[in-house]
Amino acid sequence: MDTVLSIKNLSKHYGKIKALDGLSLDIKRGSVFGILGPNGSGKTTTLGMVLDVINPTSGLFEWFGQKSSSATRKRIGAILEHPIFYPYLTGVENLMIVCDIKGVPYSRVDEVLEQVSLGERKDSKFKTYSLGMKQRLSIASALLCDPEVMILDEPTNGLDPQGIAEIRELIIEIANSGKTIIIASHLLDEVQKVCTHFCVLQRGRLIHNGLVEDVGKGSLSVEVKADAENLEQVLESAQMHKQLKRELDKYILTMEDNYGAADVNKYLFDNGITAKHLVVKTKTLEKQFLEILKGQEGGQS
Amino acid sequence: MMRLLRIELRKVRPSKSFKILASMYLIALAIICVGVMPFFQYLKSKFEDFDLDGVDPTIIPFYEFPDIWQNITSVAIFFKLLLGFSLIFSVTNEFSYRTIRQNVIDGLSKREFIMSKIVMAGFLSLVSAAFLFVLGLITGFIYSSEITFSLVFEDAYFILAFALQLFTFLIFTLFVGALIKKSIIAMGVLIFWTLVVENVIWGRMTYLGYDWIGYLLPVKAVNQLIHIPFPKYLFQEVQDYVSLPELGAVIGFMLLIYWGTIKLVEKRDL
Repeated sequence: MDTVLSIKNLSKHYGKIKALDGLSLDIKRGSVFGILGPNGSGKTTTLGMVLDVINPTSGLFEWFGQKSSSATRKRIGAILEHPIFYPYLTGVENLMIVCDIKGVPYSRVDEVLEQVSLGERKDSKFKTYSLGMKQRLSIASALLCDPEVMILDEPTNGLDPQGIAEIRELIIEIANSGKTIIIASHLLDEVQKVCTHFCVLQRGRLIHNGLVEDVGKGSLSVEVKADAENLEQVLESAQMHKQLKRELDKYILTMEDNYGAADVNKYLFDNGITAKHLVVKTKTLEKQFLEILKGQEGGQS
Repeated sequence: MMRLLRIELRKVRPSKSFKILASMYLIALAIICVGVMPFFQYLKSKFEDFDLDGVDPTIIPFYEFPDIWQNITSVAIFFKLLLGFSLIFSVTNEFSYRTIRQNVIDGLSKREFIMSKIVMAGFLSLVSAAFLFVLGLITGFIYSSEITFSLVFEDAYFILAFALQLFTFLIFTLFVGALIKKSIIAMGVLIFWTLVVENVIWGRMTYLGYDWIGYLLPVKAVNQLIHIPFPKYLFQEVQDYVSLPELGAVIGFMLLIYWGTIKLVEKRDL
Protein backbone atom coordinates (compact mmCIF):
# COMPACT_ATOMS: atom_id res chain seq x y z
CA MET A 1 0.00 0.00 0.00
CA ASP A 2 1.42 3.36 -0.91
CA THR A 3 1.13 6.50 1.14
CA VAL A 4 -1.43 9.08 0.11
CA LEU A 5 -0.67 11.74 2.67
CA SER A 6 2.53 12.04 4.62
CA ILE A 7 2.80 14.68 7.34
CA LYS A 8 6.14 15.47 8.96
CA ASN A 9 6.47 17.51 12.10
CA LEU A 10 3.66 19.90 11.19
CA SER A 11 3.02 22.77 13.61
CA LYS A 12 0.73 25.76 13.78
CA HIS A 13 1.17 28.32 16.51
CA TYR A 14 -1.07 31.30 17.15
CA GLY A 15 1.18 33.37 19.36
CA LYS A 16 1.69 31.25 22.46
CA ILE A 17 -1.13 28.87 21.66
CA LYS A 18 0.00 25.71 19.91
CA ALA A 19 -2.98 24.69 17.81
CA LEU A 20 -0.88 21.88 16.38
CA ASP A 21 2.46 20.82 17.74
CA GLY A 22 4.80 18.62 15.72
CA LEU A 23 2.33 16.24 14.11
CA SER A 24 3.72 13.38 12.03
CA LEU A 25 1.35 11.00 10.32
CA ASP A 26 1.14 8.70 7.29
CA ILE A 27 -2.12 7.78 5.66
CA LYS A 28 -2.15 4.75 3.37
CA ARG A 29 -4.13 4.36 0.19
CA GLY A 30 -7.47 2.63 0.62
CA SER A 31 -7.77 3.25 4.33
CA VAL A 32 -10.60 5.04 6.07
CA PHE A 33 -8.74 7.16 8.54
CA GLY A 34 -10.45 8.74 11.51
CA ILE A 35 -8.92 11.74 13.26
CA LEU A 36 -10.36 11.88 16.76
CA GLY A 37 -10.03 14.52 19.36
CA PRO A 38 -12.03 16.77 21.60
CA ASN A 39 -13.11 20.16 20.27
CA GLY A 40 -10.12 22.43 19.81
CA SER A 41 -7.60 19.61 19.62
CA GLY A 42 -6.31 20.66 16.20
CA LYS A 43 -8.29 18.45 13.81
CA THR A 44 -9.58 21.19 11.51
CA THR A 45 -6.28 23.10 11.75
CA THR A 46 -4.48 19.99 10.50
CA LEU A 47 -6.87 19.51 7.60
CA GLY A 48 -6.77 23.23 6.79
CA MET A 49 -3.01 23.09 6.52
CA VAL A 50 -2.84 20.00 4.32
CA LEU A 51 -5.42 21.71 2.06
CA ASP A 52 -3.33 24.90 1.85
CA VAL A 53 -5.87 27.27 3.39
CA ILE A 54 -3.90 27.66 6.63
CA ASN A 55 -0.21 28.46 6.45
CA PRO A 56 1.84 26.12 8.68
CA THR A 57 4.24 27.65 11.21
CA SER A 58 6.67 24.84 10.44
CA GLY A 59 6.77 21.33 9.09
CA LEU A 60 6.12 19.58 5.80
CA PHE A 61 3.52 17.44 4.15
CA GLU A 62 3.24 15.62 0.85
CA TRP A 63 0.26 14.42 -1.16
CA PHE A 64 0.80 11.35 -3.34
CA GLY A 65 4.54 11.72 -2.78
CA GLN A 66 4.68 15.25 -4.24
CA LYS A 67 4.74 18.74 -2.85
CA SER A 68 1.21 20.03 -2.40
CA SER A 69 -0.12 22.32 -5.14
CA SER A 70 -3.40 23.25 -6.75
CA ALA A 71 -2.85 20.23 -9.03
CA THR A 72 -2.76 17.78 -6.10
CA ARG A 73 -5.81 19.46 -4.56
CA LYS A 74 -7.77 18.76 -7.75
CA ARG A 75 -7.38 15.05 -6.99
CA ILE A 76 -8.92 15.51 -3.53
CA GLY A 77 -12.53 16.07 -2.61
CA ALA A 78 -12.79 17.93 0.67
CA ILE A 79 -15.21 19.63 2.99
CA LEU A 80 -13.97 21.56 6.01
CA GLU A 81 -16.36 22.31 8.85
CA HIS A 82 -19.80 23.24 7.52
CA PRO A 83 -20.81 23.18 3.84
CA ILE A 84 -19.71 26.32 2.00
CA PHE A 85 -21.45 27.41 -1.19
CA TYR A 86 -22.74 30.57 -2.84
CA PRO A 87 -26.14 31.00 -1.15
CA TYR A 88 -27.74 32.85 -4.07
CA LEU A 89 -26.82 30.14 -6.61
CA THR A 90 -28.64 26.85 -7.14
CA GLY A 91 -27.13 23.47 -6.33
CA VAL A 92 -26.32 22.90 -9.99
CA GLU A 93 -24.79 26.35 -10.47
CA ASN A 94 -22.61 25.86 -7.41
CA LEU A 95 -21.37 22.50 -8.63
CA MET A 96 -20.64 23.90 -12.09
CA ILE A 97 -18.23 26.38 -10.50
CA VAL A 98 -16.48 23.45 -8.83
CA CYS A 99 -16.37 21.69 -12.24
CA ASP A 100 -14.67 24.75 -13.73
CA ILE A 101 -12.17 24.90 -10.88
CA LYS A 102 -11.32 21.22 -10.99
CA GLY A 103 -11.52 20.85 -14.76
CA VAL A 104 -14.26 18.23 -14.67
CA PRO A 105 -16.95 17.85 -17.40
CA TYR A 106 -20.37 19.28 -16.47
CA SER A 107 -22.00 15.91 -17.11
CA ARG A 108 -20.70 14.83 -13.69
CA VAL A 109 -23.01 17.31 -11.93
CA ASP A 110 -26.19 15.31 -12.49
CA GLU A 111 -24.41 12.05 -11.70
CA VAL A 112 -23.20 13.12 -8.27
CA LEU A 113 -26.51 14.81 -7.44
CA GLU A 114 -28.26 11.50 -8.13
CA GLN A 115 -25.67 9.69 -6.03
CA VAL A 116 -26.53 11.77 -2.96
CA SER A 117 -30.27 11.80 -3.88
CA LEU A 118 -30.50 15.54 -4.35
CA GLY A 119 -31.81 15.40 -7.92
CA GLU A 120 -35.21 16.83 -7.05
CA ARG A 121 -33.91 20.01 -5.45
CA LYS A 122 -30.97 20.64 -7.76
CA ASP A 123 -32.45 23.84 -9.21
CA SER A 124 -33.32 25.40 -5.86
CA LYS A 125 -31.08 28.05 -4.38
CA PHE A 126 -28.55 26.78 -1.86
CA LYS A 127 -29.89 29.05 0.89
CA THR A 128 -33.23 27.24 0.77
CA TYR A 129 -31.65 23.86 1.55
CA SER A 130 -32.02 22.10 4.89
CA LEU A 131 -28.86 21.28 6.82
CA GLY A 132 -29.00 17.65 5.69
CA MET A 133 -29.31 18.73 2.06
CA LYS A 134 -26.39 21.13 2.46
CA GLN A 135 -24.25 18.30 3.84
CA ARG A 136 -25.27 16.08 0.96
CA LEU A 137 -24.50 18.81 -1.57
CA SER A 138 -21.04 19.18 -0.11
CA ILE A 139 -20.46 15.44 -0.36
CA ALA A 140 -21.67 15.63 -3.97
CA SER A 141 -19.20 18.45 -4.56
CA ALA A 142 -16.39 16.40 -3.03
CA LEU A 143 -17.30 13.49 -5.31
CA LEU A 144 -17.35 15.59 -8.50
CA CYS A 145 -13.79 14.92 -9.59
CA ASP A 146 -13.99 11.22 -8.70
CA PRO A 147 -11.34 11.95 -6.06
CA GLU A 148 -8.59 9.62 -4.93
CA VAL A 149 -8.96 10.97 -1.42
CA MET A 150 -11.98 12.37 0.35
CA ILE A 151 -11.66 14.56 3.39
CA LEU A 152 -14.72 14.97 5.59
CA ASP A 153 -14.70 17.18 8.63
CA GLU A 154 -17.54 16.36 11.04
CA PRO A 155 -19.72 15.12 8.17
CA THR A 156 -22.70 14.36 10.38
CA ASN A 157 -22.51 17.46 12.52
CA GLY A 158 -25.94 18.86 13.27
CA LEU A 159 -27.88 16.14 11.46
CA ASP A 160 -30.84 14.20 12.84
CA PRO A 161 -30.45 10.44 13.45
CA GLN A 162 -31.91 9.60 10.05
CA GLY A 163 -29.58 12.04 8.33
CA ILE A 164 -26.61 10.63 10.24
CA ALA A 165 -27.52 7.10 9.13
CA GLU A 166 -27.84 8.28 5.51
CA ILE A 167 -24.49 10.01 5.49
CA ARG A 168 -22.86 7.04 7.19
CA GLU A 169 -24.20 4.70 4.54
CA LEU A 170 -22.95 7.03 1.84
CA ILE A 171 -19.48 7.06 3.41
CA ILE A 172 -19.35 3.27 3.64
CA GLU A 173 -20.50 3.04 0.02
CA ILE A 174 -17.74 5.42 -1.05
CA ALA A 175 -15.16 3.58 1.05
CA ASN A 176 -16.19 0.27 -0.54
CA SER A 177 -15.39 1.72 -3.96
CA GLY A 178 -11.74 1.82 -2.86
CA LYS A 179 -11.29 5.52 -2.14
CA THR A 180 -9.16 6.75 0.72
CA ILE A 181 -11.26 8.68 3.21
CA ILE A 182 -10.07 10.92 6.02
CA ILE A 183 -12.71 11.79 8.59
CA ALA A 184 -12.27 14.21 11.44
CA SER A 185 -14.79 13.74 14.19
CA HIS A 186 -15.44 13.84 17.86
CA LEU A 187 -18.15 11.21 17.48
CA LEU A 188 -16.39 8.00 18.43
CA ASP A 189 -19.25 5.81 17.47
CA GLU A 190 -19.15 7.22 13.98
CA VAL A 191 -15.43 6.57 13.61
CA GLN A 192 -15.72 3.03 14.97
CA LYS A 193 -18.48 2.21 12.51
CA VAL A 194 -16.76 3.40 9.33
CA CYS A 195 -13.00 3.68 9.91
CA THR A 196 -10.17 1.22 9.53
CA HIS A 197 -7.49 3.39 11.15
CA PHE A 198 -7.68 6.13 13.70
CA CYS A 199 -5.51 8.57 15.56
CA VAL A 200 -6.21 10.73 18.57
CA LEU A 201 -5.19 14.35 18.92
CA GLN A 202 -5.19 16.31 22.12
CA ARG A 203 -4.19 19.94 22.50
CA GLY A 204 -2.41 19.79 19.18
CA ARG A 205 -0.39 16.65 19.91
CA LEU A 206 -0.74 13.15 18.50
CA ILE A 207 -1.30 10.79 21.41
CA HIS A 208 -2.43 7.64 19.68
CA ASN A 209 -2.29 6.11 16.20
CA GLY A 210 -3.53 2.63 15.37
CA LEU A 211 -6.06 0.26 13.84
CA VAL A 212 -9.72 0.36 14.79
CA GLU A 213 -9.87 -3.47 14.78
CA ASP A 214 -7.23 -3.52 17.54
CA VAL A 215 -9.51 -1.59 19.81
CA GLY A 216 -11.46 -4.62 21.07
CA LYS A 217 -8.25 -6.53 21.68
CA GLY A 218 -6.05 -6.49 24.72
CA SER A 219 -7.43 -6.67 28.18
CA LEU A 220 -10.88 -8.08 28.67
CA SER A 221 -13.55 -6.74 30.99
CA VAL A 222 -15.84 -8.98 32.98
CA GLU A 223 -18.89 -7.83 34.90
CA VAL A 224 -19.90 -9.81 37.96
CA LYS A 225 -22.95 -9.71 40.24
CA ALA A 226 -23.61 -12.07 43.10
CA ASP A 227 -25.58 -12.15 46.36
CA ALA A 228 -22.57 -12.57 48.62
CA GLU A 229 -21.19 -10.10 51.09
CA ASN A 230 -17.61 -11.24 50.67
CA LEU A 231 -17.68 -10.98 46.84
CA GLU A 232 -15.18 -8.16 46.77
CA GLN A 233 -12.64 -9.94 48.99
CA VAL A 234 -12.97 -13.14 46.98
CA LEU A 235 -12.49 -11.31 43.70
CA GLU A 236 -9.48 -9.51 45.17
CA SER A 237 -7.94 -12.76 46.31
CA ALA A 238 -8.34 -14.37 42.89
CA GLN A 239 -5.50 -12.25 41.49
CA MET A 240 -6.86 -12.49 37.96
CA HIS A 241 -7.43 -8.81 37.38
CA LYS A 242 -5.45 -5.73 36.67
CA GLN A 243 -8.15 -3.56 38.05
CA LEU A 244 -11.28 -4.03 40.07
CA LYS A 245 -14.00 -1.44 40.10
CA ARG A 246 -17.39 -1.30 41.73
CA GLU A 247 -20.33 0.15 39.86
CA LEU A 248 -23.51 0.13 41.98
CA ASP A 249 -24.28 -3.53 42.62
CA LYS A 250 -21.80 -4.99 40.14
CA TYR A 251 -18.04 -5.35 39.97
CA ILE A 252 -16.05 -4.78 36.83
CA LEU A 253 -12.82 -6.68 36.43
CA THR A 254 -10.24 -5.71 33.88
CA MET A 255 -8.61 -9.07 33.37
CA GLU A 256 -4.93 -10.03 33.28
CA ASP A 257 -3.87 -11.73 30.06
CA ASN A 258 -4.71 -15.44 29.83
CA TYR A 259 -7.64 -15.17 32.21
CA GLY A 260 -11.22 -15.23 31.02
CA ALA A 261 -14.76 -15.20 32.35
CA ALA A 262 -14.71 -18.96 32.86
CA ASP A 263 -11.79 -18.66 35.30
CA VAL A 264 -13.67 -16.09 37.30
CA ASN A 265 -16.76 -18.25 37.38
CA LYS A 266 -14.83 -21.30 38.53
CA TYR A 267 -12.97 -19.41 41.22
CA LEU A 268 -16.16 -17.92 42.61
CA PHE A 269 -17.87 -21.29 42.63
CA ASP A 270 -14.90 -22.92 44.40
CA ASN A 271 -15.24 -20.22 47.03
CA GLY A 272 -18.91 -20.88 47.49
CA ILE A 273 -20.29 -17.97 45.54
CA THR A 274 -22.74 -18.37 42.69
CA ALA A 275 -22.64 -15.53 40.21
CA LYS A 276 -26.04 -14.35 39.10
CA HIS A 277 -24.64 -12.12 36.42
CA LEU A 278 -21.47 -12.68 34.44
CA VAL A 279 -20.88 -10.68 31.24
CA VAL A 280 -17.84 -10.32 29.02
CA LYS A 281 -17.48 -6.77 27.71
CA THR A 282 -15.45 -5.96 24.62
CA LYS A 283 -14.03 -2.51 24.75
CA THR A 284 -15.62 0.22 22.68
CA LEU A 285 -13.64 2.93 20.96
CA GLU A 286 -15.26 5.35 23.34
CA LYS A 287 -13.77 3.59 26.29
CA GLN A 288 -10.38 3.29 24.66
CA PHE A 289 -10.49 6.92 23.69
CA LEU A 290 -11.27 8.04 27.20
CA GLU A 291 -8.52 5.79 28.53
CA ILE A 292 -6.04 7.25 26.09
CA LEU A 293 -6.99 10.78 27.06
CA LYS A 294 -6.89 9.92 30.74
CA GLY A 295 -3.54 8.19 30.42
CA GLN A 296 -2.21 11.25 28.71
CA GLU A 297 -3.44 13.59 31.40
CA GLY A 298 -2.06 11.29 34.09
CA GLY A 299 1.29 11.22 32.33
CA GLN A 300 1.43 14.99 32.21
CA SER A 301 0.67 15.70 35.81
CA MET B 1 -7.52 33.02 -18.29
CA MET B 2 -10.80 32.20 -20.02
CA ARG B 3 -11.36 29.56 -17.35
CA LEU B 4 -10.96 32.17 -14.60
CA LEU B 5 -13.30 34.57 -16.38
CA ARG B 6 -15.86 31.79 -16.83
CA ILE B 7 -15.70 30.95 -13.11
CA GLU B 8 -16.09 34.62 -12.21
CA LEU B 9 -19.02 35.19 -14.56
CA ARG B 10 -20.76 32.12 -13.16
CA LYS B 11 -20.40 33.62 -9.70
CA VAL B 12 -21.70 37.12 -10.43
CA ARG B 13 -24.25 36.64 -13.19
CA PRO B 14 -27.16 35.56 -10.98
CA SER B 15 -26.22 38.04 -8.25
CA LYS B 16 -28.75 40.84 -7.87
CA SER B 17 -26.49 43.44 -6.30
CA PHE B 18 -23.99 43.01 -9.10
CA LYS B 19 -26.63 43.37 -11.79
CA ILE B 20 -28.10 46.48 -10.21
CA LEU B 21 -24.76 48.24 -9.77
CA ALA B 22 -23.49 47.31 -13.20
CA SER B 23 -26.64 48.49 -14.95
CA MET B 24 -26.67 51.71 -12.92
CA TYR B 25 -23.14 52.29 -14.15
CA LEU B 26 -23.98 51.68 -17.80
CA ILE B 27 -27.01 53.96 -17.56
CA ALA B 28 -24.81 56.67 -16.02
CA LEU B 29 -22.38 56.34 -18.95
CA ALA B 30 -25.23 56.61 -21.42
CA ILE B 31 -26.58 59.72 -19.72
CA ILE B 32 -23.30 61.63 -20.07
CA CYS B 33 -23.13 60.75 -23.69
CA VAL B 34 -26.57 61.89 -24.61
CA GLY B 35 -27.47 64.21 -21.76
CA VAL B 36 -25.04 67.12 -21.99
CA MET B 37 -26.55 68.76 -25.06
CA PRO B 38 -30.07 68.92 -23.60
CA PHE B 39 -28.46 70.39 -20.48
CA PHE B 40 -26.75 73.06 -22.57
CA GLN B 41 -30.05 73.82 -24.29
CA TYR B 42 -31.66 74.16 -20.87
CA LEU B 43 -28.86 76.55 -19.83
CA LYS B 44 -29.34 78.54 -23.01
CA SER B 45 -33.05 78.99 -22.33
CA LYS B 46 -32.24 80.08 -18.77
CA PHE B 47 -29.66 82.57 -20.01
CA GLU B 48 -32.24 83.95 -22.41
CA ASP B 49 -34.54 84.47 -19.44
CA PHE B 50 -31.82 86.63 -17.92
CA ASP B 51 -31.33 88.59 -21.15
CA LEU B 52 -27.94 87.00 -21.72
CA ASP B 53 -28.66 86.21 -25.34
CA GLY B 54 -25.03 86.47 -26.26
CA VAL B 55 -24.10 83.45 -24.17
CA ASP B 56 -24.95 80.27 -26.01
CA PRO B 57 -23.52 77.10 -24.42
CA THR B 58 -24.83 74.96 -27.26
CA ILE B 59 -22.10 76.24 -29.50
CA ILE B 60 -19.55 74.59 -27.21
CA PRO B 61 -18.25 71.71 -29.34
CA PHE B 62 -18.64 69.16 -26.54
CA TYR B 63 -19.60 66.33 -28.89
CA GLU B 64 -17.39 67.20 -31.84
CA PHE B 65 -14.69 64.87 -33.06
CA PRO B 66 -12.00 64.69 -31.86
CA ASP B 67 -12.72 66.65 -28.65
CA ILE B 68 -15.50 64.26 -27.71
CA TRP B 69 -13.08 61.52 -26.64
CA GLN B 70 -11.36 63.52 -23.94
CA ASN B 71 -14.67 65.13 -22.95
CA ILE B 72 -16.67 61.98 -22.39
CA THR B 73 -13.86 59.93 -20.85
CA SER B 74 -12.98 62.63 -18.33
CA VAL B 75 -16.62 62.76 -17.24
CA ALA B 76 -17.25 59.00 -17.40
CA ILE B 77 -14.42 58.25 -14.98
CA PHE B 78 -16.35 60.06 -12.22
CA PHE B 79 -18.75 57.13 -12.13
CA LYS B 80 -16.05 54.56 -11.46
CA LEU B 81 -17.17 54.20 -7.84
CA LEU B 82 -20.37 52.47 -8.97
CA LEU B 83 -18.39 49.81 -10.77
CA GLY B 84 -15.95 49.67 -7.87
CA PHE B 85 -18.81 48.82 -5.51
CA SER B 86 -19.88 45.88 -7.62
CA LEU B 87 -16.34 44.49 -7.47
CA ILE B 88 -16.10 45.13 -3.72
CA PHE B 89 -19.30 43.15 -3.27
CA SER B 90 -17.97 40.26 -5.28
CA VAL B 91 -14.70 40.18 -3.30
CA THR B 92 -16.03 40.71 0.22
CA ASN B 93 -18.80 38.17 -0.34
CA GLU B 94 -16.15 35.56 -1.00
CA PHE B 95 -14.71 36.29 2.42
CA SER B 96 -18.00 36.51 4.32
CA TYR B 97 -19.42 33.34 2.70
CA ARG B 98 -15.93 31.80 3.09
CA THR B 99 -16.21 30.61 -0.48
CA ILE B 100 -12.63 31.72 -1.13
CA ARG B 101 -11.59 29.00 1.30
CA GLN B 102 -13.68 26.39 -0.51
CA ASN B 103 -12.36 27.60 -3.89
CA VAL B 104 -8.80 27.02 -2.70
CA ILE B 105 -9.71 23.63 -1.22
CA ASP B 106 -11.31 22.68 -4.53
CA GLY B 107 -8.09 23.38 -6.38
CA LEU B 108 -7.75 27.08 -7.18
CA SER B 109 -4.47 28.58 -5.97
CA LYS B 110 -4.72 31.82 -3.98
CA ARG B 111 -2.94 33.58 -6.81
CA GLU B 112 -5.42 32.19 -9.33
CA PHE B 113 -8.24 33.37 -7.11
CA ILE B 114 -6.89 36.95 -7.16
CA MET B 115 -6.25 36.62 -10.89
CA SER B 116 -9.87 35.63 -11.45
CA LYS B 117 -10.96 38.90 -9.83
CA ILE B 118 -8.38 40.84 -11.83
CA VAL B 119 -9.53 39.22 -15.05
CA MET B 120 -13.05 40.26 -14.09
CA ALA B 121 -11.84 43.84 -13.48
CA GLY B 122 -10.21 43.79 -16.92
CA PHE B 123 -13.38 42.44 -18.46
CA LEU B 124 -15.51 45.16 -16.84
CA SER B 125 -13.05 47.86 -17.93
CA LEU B 126 -13.03 46.65 -21.52
CA VAL B 127 -16.81 46.34 -21.69
CA SER B 128 -17.22 49.88 -20.27
CA ALA B 129 -14.62 51.28 -22.66
CA ALA B 130 -16.23 49.54 -25.63
CA PHE B 131 -19.66 50.78 -24.56
CA LEU B 132 -18.35 54.32 -24.20
CA PHE B 133 -16.60 54.06 -27.56
CA VAL B 134 -19.82 53.07 -29.33
CA LEU B 135 -21.79 55.81 -27.55
CA GLY B 136 -19.06 58.31 -28.45
CA LEU B 137 -19.16 57.33 -32.11
CA ILE B 138 -22.94 57.65 -32.27
CA THR B 139 -23.19 61.03 -30.54
CA GLY B 140 -20.11 62.26 -32.39
CA PHE B 141 -21.66 61.48 -35.75
CA ILE B 142 -24.86 63.23 -34.70
CA TYR B 143 -23.31 66.47 -33.44
CA SER B 144 -20.06 66.86 -35.39
CA SER B 145 -20.05 69.44 -38.16
CA GLU B 146 -17.08 67.89 -39.92
CA ILE B 147 -16.44 64.15 -40.19
CA THR B 148 -13.30 62.62 -41.60
CA PHE B 149 -11.58 59.38 -40.68
CA SER B 150 -8.60 61.13 -39.10
CA LEU B 151 -10.77 63.54 -37.08
CA VAL B 152 -12.93 60.71 -35.72
CA PHE B 153 -10.03 58.56 -34.57
CA GLU B 154 -7.41 61.21 -33.85
CA ASP B 155 -7.92 61.21 -30.06
CA ALA B 156 -9.70 57.89 -29.76
CA TYR B 157 -6.77 56.60 -27.69
CA PHE B 158 -8.43 58.39 -24.76
CA ILE B 159 -10.78 55.41 -24.70
CA LEU B 160 -7.80 53.12 -24.07
CA ALA B 161 -6.52 55.47 -21.38
CA PHE B 162 -9.99 55.36 -19.87
CA ALA B 163 -9.92 51.55 -19.83
CA LEU B 164 -6.55 51.65 -18.07
CA GLN B 165 -7.84 54.19 -15.52
CA LEU B 166 -10.86 52.05 -14.76
CA PHE B 167 -8.82 48.86 -14.55
CA THR B 168 -6.30 50.37 -12.13
CA PHE B 169 -9.06 51.81 -9.98
CA LEU B 170 -10.84 48.44 -9.91
CA ILE B 171 -7.66 46.70 -8.79
CA PHE B 172 -7.44 49.30 -6.04
CA THR B 173 -10.99 48.48 -4.93
CA LEU B 174 -10.08 44.80 -5.07
CA PHE B 175 -7.23 45.51 -2.67
CA VAL B 176 -9.51 47.46 -0.33
CA GLY B 177 -12.07 44.65 -0.43
CA ALA B 178 -9.46 41.96 0.26
CA LEU B 179 -7.98 44.04 3.06
CA ILE B 180 -11.22 44.82 4.87
CA LYS B 181 -13.37 41.79 3.97
CA LYS B 182 -16.65 43.37 5.16
CA SER B 183 -18.66 44.80 2.28
CA ILE B 184 -20.25 47.83 3.93
CA ILE B 185 -17.10 48.89 5.76
CA ALA B 186 -15.01 48.36 2.64
CA MET B 187 -17.38 50.54 0.62
CA GLY B 188 -17.27 53.20 3.32
CA VAL B 189 -13.50 53.16 3.40
CA LEU B 190 -13.35 53.35 -0.38
CA ILE B 191 -15.65 56.40 -0.47
CA PHE B 192 -13.85 58.05 2.43
CA TRP B 193 -10.44 57.46 0.91
CA THR B 194 -11.41 58.57 -2.59
CA LEU B 195 -13.48 61.63 -1.72
CA VAL B 196 -12.00 62.82 1.59
CA VAL B 197 -8.52 61.53 2.42
CA GLU B 198 -6.97 62.01 -1.00
CA ASN B 199 -8.68 65.36 -1.59
CA VAL B 200 -7.57 66.76 1.76
CA ILE B 201 -3.97 65.65 1.30
CA TRP B 202 -3.96 66.75 -2.32
CA GLY B 203 -5.57 70.11 -1.58
CA ARG B 204 -3.15 70.89 1.25
CA MET B 205 -0.05 69.82 -0.64
CA THR B 206 -0.89 71.60 -3.89
CA TYR B 207 -1.70 74.69 -1.84
CA LEU B 208 1.85 74.46 -0.50
CA GLY B 209 3.09 74.08 -4.03
CA TYR B 210 3.93 70.36 -3.97
CA ASP B 211 2.20 69.42 -7.20
CA TRP B 212 3.93 66.04 -7.40
CA ILE B 213 1.60 64.76 -4.66
CA GLY B 214 -0.85 63.71 -7.40
CA TYR B 215 1.60 60.98 -8.38
CA LEU B 216 1.65 59.49 -4.89
CA LEU B 217 -2.08 59.12 -4.28
CA PRO B 218 -3.49 56.12 -6.14
CA VAL B 219 -6.92 57.50 -7.03
CA LYS B 220 -5.55 60.97 -7.89
CA ALA B 221 -2.92 59.34 -10.06
CA VAL B 222 -5.66 57.46 -11.86
CA ASN B 223 -7.81 60.56 -12.26
CA GLN B 224 -5.05 62.81 -13.58
CA LEU B 225 -4.28 60.49 -16.48
CA ILE B 226 -7.01 62.27 -18.45
CA HIS B 227 -7.12 65.97 -17.66
CA ILE B 228 -10.46 67.70 -17.42
CA PRO B 229 -10.71 69.57 -20.72
CA PHE B 230 -13.56 72.00 -20.04
CA PRO B 231 -11.52 75.05 -18.96
CA LYS B 232 -10.34 75.24 -22.57
CA TYR B 233 -13.78 76.43 -23.56
CA LEU B 234 -13.02 79.39 -21.33
CA PHE B 235 -9.81 79.87 -23.30
CA GLN B 236 -7.50 78.34 -20.68
CA GLU B 237 -4.50 76.15 -21.37
CA VAL B 238 -5.35 72.44 -20.89
CA GLN B 239 -3.26 69.35 -21.35
CA ASP B 240 -5.07 67.60 -24.17
CA TYR B 241 -2.92 64.46 -24.37
CA VAL B 242 -1.83 61.59 -22.12
CA SER B 243 1.60 62.34 -20.70
CA LEU B 244 4.16 59.60 -20.16
CA PRO B 245 5.01 60.32 -16.49
CA GLU B 246 1.32 60.23 -15.63
CA LEU B 247 0.89 57.00 -17.56
CA GLY B 248 3.92 55.60 -15.72
CA ALA B 249 2.39 56.51 -12.35
CA VAL B 250 -0.83 54.67 -13.19
CA ILE B 251 0.99 51.55 -14.37
CA GLY B 252 3.25 51.73 -11.32
CA PHE B 253 0.28 51.83 -8.97
CA MET B 254 -1.36 49.00 -10.88
CA LEU B 255 1.64 46.71 -10.39
CA LEU B 256 2.17 47.77 -6.78
CA ILE B 257 -1.46 47.13 -5.81
CA TYR B 258 -1.46 43.81 -7.68
CA TRP B 259 1.64 42.72 -5.77
CA GLY B 260 0.18 43.95 -2.47
CA THR B 261 -3.10 42.10 -2.96
CA ILE B 262 -1.37 38.82 -3.81
CA LYS B 263 0.92 39.13 -0.76
CA LEU B 264 -2.01 40.03 1.47
CA VAL B 265 -4.07 36.99 0.50
CA GLU B 266 -1.19 34.52 0.33
CA LYS B 267 -0.05 35.41 3.83
CA ARG B 268 -3.51 35.15 5.32
CA ASP B 269 -5.10 32.01 6.79
CA LEU B 270 -8.43 31.54 5.10
